[in-house]
Amino acid sequence: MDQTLTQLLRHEEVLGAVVFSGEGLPLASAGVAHADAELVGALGASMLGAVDRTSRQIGVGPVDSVSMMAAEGMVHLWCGDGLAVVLFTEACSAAAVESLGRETLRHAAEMFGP
Amino acid sequence: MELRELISQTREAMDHGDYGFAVSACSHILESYPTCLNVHRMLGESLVEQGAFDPAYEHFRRVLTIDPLSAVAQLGLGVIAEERKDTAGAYAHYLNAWEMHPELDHLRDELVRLRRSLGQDVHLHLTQPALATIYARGGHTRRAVEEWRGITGADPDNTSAHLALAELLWRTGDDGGALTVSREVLERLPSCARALAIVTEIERRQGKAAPREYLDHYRSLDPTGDIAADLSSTAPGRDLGFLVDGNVRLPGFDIAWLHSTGPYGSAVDGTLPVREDQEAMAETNTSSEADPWEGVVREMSQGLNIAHDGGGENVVPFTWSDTDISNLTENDDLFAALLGAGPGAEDAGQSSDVDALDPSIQPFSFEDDSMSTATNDPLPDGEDWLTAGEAPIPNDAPVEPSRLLENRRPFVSESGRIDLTAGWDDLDRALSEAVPSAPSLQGYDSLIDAFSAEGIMPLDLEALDAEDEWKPLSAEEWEADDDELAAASPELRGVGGASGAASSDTGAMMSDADGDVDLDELAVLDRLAKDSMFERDVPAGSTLAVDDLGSSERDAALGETWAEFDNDIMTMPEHAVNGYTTILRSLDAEQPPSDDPVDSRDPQETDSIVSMDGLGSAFNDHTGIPLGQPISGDGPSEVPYAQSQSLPSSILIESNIDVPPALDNEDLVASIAISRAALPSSPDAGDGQQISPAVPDDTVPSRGEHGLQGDPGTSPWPRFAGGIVGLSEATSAGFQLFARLREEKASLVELGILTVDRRLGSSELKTDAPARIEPGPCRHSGDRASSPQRPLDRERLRELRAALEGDATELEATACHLEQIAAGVQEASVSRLLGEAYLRLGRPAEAALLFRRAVSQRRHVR
Repeated sequence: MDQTLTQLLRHEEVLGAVVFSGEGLPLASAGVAHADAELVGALGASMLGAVDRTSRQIGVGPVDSVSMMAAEGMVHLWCGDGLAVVLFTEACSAAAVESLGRETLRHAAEMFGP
Repeated sequence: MELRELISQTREAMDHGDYGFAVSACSHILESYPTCLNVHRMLGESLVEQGAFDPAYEHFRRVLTIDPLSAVAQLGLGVIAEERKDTAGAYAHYLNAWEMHPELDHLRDELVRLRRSLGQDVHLHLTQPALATIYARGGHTRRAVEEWRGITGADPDNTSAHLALAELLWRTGDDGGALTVSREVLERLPSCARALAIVTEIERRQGKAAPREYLDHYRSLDPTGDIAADLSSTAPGRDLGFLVDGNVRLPGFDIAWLHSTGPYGSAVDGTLPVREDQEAMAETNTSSEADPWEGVVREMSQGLNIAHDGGGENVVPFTWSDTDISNLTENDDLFAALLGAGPGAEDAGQSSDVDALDPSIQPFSFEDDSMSTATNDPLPDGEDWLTAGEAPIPNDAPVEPSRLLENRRPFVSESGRIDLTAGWDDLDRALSEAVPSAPSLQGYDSLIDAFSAEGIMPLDLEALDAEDEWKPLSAEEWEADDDELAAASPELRGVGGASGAASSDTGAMMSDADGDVDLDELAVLDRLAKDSMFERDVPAGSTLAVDDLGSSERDAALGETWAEFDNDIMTMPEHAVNGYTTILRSLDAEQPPSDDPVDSRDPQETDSIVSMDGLGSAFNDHTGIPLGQPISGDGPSEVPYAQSQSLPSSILIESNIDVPPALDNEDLVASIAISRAALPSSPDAGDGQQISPAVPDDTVPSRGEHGLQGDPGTSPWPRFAGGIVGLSEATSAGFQLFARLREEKASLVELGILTVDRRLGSSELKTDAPARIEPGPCRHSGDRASSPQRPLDRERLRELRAALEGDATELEATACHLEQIAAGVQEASVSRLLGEAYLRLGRPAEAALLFRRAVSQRRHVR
């Protein structure tokens, strides 16, 4: 899993990657410090919960990815199979990161999934 | 005929219920052996079975004179006493028998029954003789002797106790004591066969000439040798055979005659038929005793005119076998049936003519006390059972119970009148005394009056109105000041019942439109709790009620109290640290495993260069440096994060911290894996290439500040202040995650661990990838050509490792060679060896870089 996440960092835009469980426990990270990884995991799980409730209330179905555009950069999150992957990138196209996120999530599910 | 044979047949007859035969046989034996112990015993048993209690009693008493330890005799006497309604006497005899045989449970049950009838405690406790018997049978002879000595000391006249002691002493080998005690017994009971046997045996064993009279006397008393057999069983080593005469015959006894003529034969002239030989025996009989049974039968036959089987006036002694009482019920007259006047007799055609009886002869009745002869009075005509020289039968009466109660017949007065209400007067009197008098009940009335004074009356269900009594209490009933309540607890305003009225009108809160109170129990309890919080100077023992306070001071007190609570709960230290964060930080600050990446062991001997794999990727920041390591030249420390001066886990931190002086090689070797002094911040990078630490941009606050400018040493987590997490209060200057991420990535790139050569959406490799930090060229290039290039294998690496131990020249050459190998082969072992070479050469920064590279290379390999 480390190699997979490290490969993500080879991309110029990608600043960091964290894989965490549905409860917010970080499982793997690259380019992110330990404390930050835990914070990211907790916040990511919280954000997923909020997004999921919002999507259900709206009626658009379950959410499997979230992208946030911020002043400092972008935060991309993919979830599935009880896992979630968050990528911190520079301002870029979300579609360009989509494949990376999906592939990373697939690898994480193979490694950490039941 | 052999005596033993006749006795054996007699026993068989008794077993078959032929007590008549037994009586006859025993009577015949007694003519020859008038003091035969066994015969007297059997005769007494037979007579008891036949109902002849008086003669049976005499025979049993005779047995006790010969053998005071005869339990059968005691039992027989007990049966006779019970038949005579002498419960106390029966209990005494049964107790004597039980003391000799405590193991007899049925005997114990009889004793318990008699105790109950006597009104005593049904618990039968061991008596001292019984205890002594148990000791003796259990082999505790010493304790048994002590018990018997105690009994004889307390009751010197207790012959049986003396005899038991003598026998026990004889068994234990105390011949002197046995002789002494036995002679004492013989002085009281000259016919005591047991004592005679003991004395004779001892003297014979001691070589003394046993008096012939003792032996003859014993043989006359016990011709069958029963006592000798009993003594031999208790003392197997003693020879008592000499006491028994092997040839004991009964002269002139014809058992066939006895069987042919039936029991007791048939009387023609009212007398028993007597055979001529019996008459001759009677003449030659030295004993002058008369057969008591014959006398009784003779008396009964005189004047009797009982019709019997159509016969004449023959008198047939009564036998139990002649009467069938099996069909009788409890209401039938037993005596009449015995005389043939019962229904059975009528059915059989027999008739009884009670009226024909001689009026002087009264039917036998157990109530007739004149029949009782349970005394030690001498026999009629002053005859004695024994010879003239014998002492009379001593009165060794058994131990009397503690309380001899006369026959109580509760509902029969002394005058014989039956009064079923007997005792009721006493009961009534007791009940009347137990009833409390009228003055004693006055206290309850006053108590009830006191309760009812304030309106607390016993609940009268009949007067209770179902609709009215069970309504919730209203405010008026509570007698509460709504305004006071509202002012006292502002929170109650918002806590309402079903109405939920957030109003200062407590009355409205406490009751709905219908006036029914729907109290919030919690609010009431809250109010009560607050009331209890008032602390004032109150006298000891008294309580302060809410009503005692004025409204203003109550408000003030409540307000102050709640304010204090608020301050306590809401106020948190400004610099309070989240405990979870503290734990996490402390984990980071912990000393890493002792196995540092640079294993001091032979690298070829271990597969693992780096032991940091166990930390997991979550702890990996790709710097190879353990997280949580404070920046100091002192090596690793376990300083908790909260106390550390700077943030752990990133070399970027060093930008704001003075570079510590370079350490010597030994210190570096000891702490290379964890010391930040080994970071590439040393100005001496070997070839002059500066490996300067990343100079942070002033616009980007360092990580050590955690997003809080000028606030080093604080947690990256939002501050917890004011009772809420300061996530929403985070300023733009705080929580600079992206900044840290960029810094982290840049450091990885600078370290050469990471190569950024891609762009999103494009697979093109970046052409402007930053140059990797390559190790310096080999200084000893001249040696390059001289050293043949050998394939890199373990043996080669081992050689190179050994070459590092050489002098400086060889070390430099080896380092140069390793550089060449590392340039072409990206192997962790090569990088490690090169790093070790750099260390020895005093190039710690380069060595650290190579070590990290080795870690990364190994990790990638995995």
